[in-house]
Amino acid sequence: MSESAAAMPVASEAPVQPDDLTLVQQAQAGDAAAFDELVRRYQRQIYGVVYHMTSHHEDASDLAQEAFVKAWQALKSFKGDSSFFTWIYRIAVNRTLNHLKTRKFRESKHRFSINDLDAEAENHPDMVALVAHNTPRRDLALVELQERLNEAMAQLSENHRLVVTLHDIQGLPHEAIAQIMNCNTATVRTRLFYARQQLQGILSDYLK
Amino acid sequence: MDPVPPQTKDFERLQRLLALKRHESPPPGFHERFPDLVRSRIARAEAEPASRWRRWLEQFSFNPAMATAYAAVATLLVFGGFWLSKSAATGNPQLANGQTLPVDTNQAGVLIASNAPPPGLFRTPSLPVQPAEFKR
Repeated sequence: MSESAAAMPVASEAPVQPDDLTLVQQAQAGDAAAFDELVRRYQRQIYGVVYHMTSHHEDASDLAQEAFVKAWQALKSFKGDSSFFTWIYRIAVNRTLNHLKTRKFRESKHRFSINDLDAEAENHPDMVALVAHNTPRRDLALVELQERLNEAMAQLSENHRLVVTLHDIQGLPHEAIAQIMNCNTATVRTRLFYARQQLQGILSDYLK
Repeated sequence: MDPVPPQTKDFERLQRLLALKRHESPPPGFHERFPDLVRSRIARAEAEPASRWRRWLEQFSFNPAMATAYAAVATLLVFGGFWLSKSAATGNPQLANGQTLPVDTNQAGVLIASNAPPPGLFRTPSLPVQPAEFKR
């Protein structure tokens, strides 16, 4: 009795969040609120991967919304063979790759629509070090560095950009990336190696 | 054996530089509005359902394996059709090169499959030739 009484306040203080599978099952039964929770849970990562692939806020917003709409429409076909996280990532990544292919035909030179840096960025030790000491021009602005980073990313092939985005920016492990990209981890490592090598050449000014 | 040599130290600075991209954030309030945007899109999509053809195309974005299977079948059909047409064109060369046996065309029930006219059709009767004479 005393044990259960002691456990009760803890449970009421921190309500247990339902796991993805429970939310998916509720959403499959037509519970829109459960799907809303899944959207809230993964929107930042999904928006992030699309944004870093496109370097365009409006495109990223549009594609991320589309990915969730398609996920809702195809939710019945979700059997749970992979996690919801992997599944929604795959949808977003496939739509982004298709978008990039069609954009290549539409526009010969794509213009960026890059997001602002958050307040933490200016005081980040790496950022301070790069802007103050390790750049060819000391008066280099943060925005210029940001643009150079995005331009360098845009020079990579889609698959190389994707693997850099997922690993070096979003911090996903090789195994998760392999599941998302539907390939083996050796391929992920190889792509990552060649992508980094290419980026190192492009951004050599900042890496001295 | 891992085909990629371990050169993590070489990429350490690059990784730190790339990590700065995490600080790029969308306009304030974007993530708060995002679920509402998704909800309104879902409502709009349900009000105007996509055509069957479009839905069929859409399913490939969820299942690339199915798209590959469709592509493989389509390729097989194209190559199969091409191969069949080639073999039909060059399939029975003995018809063209083979020696034909003489057939008695006078026999009843024999059909003549030829562009040549039947024998005797254009044969002009042999008339006795008379020498021409000048009128006096």
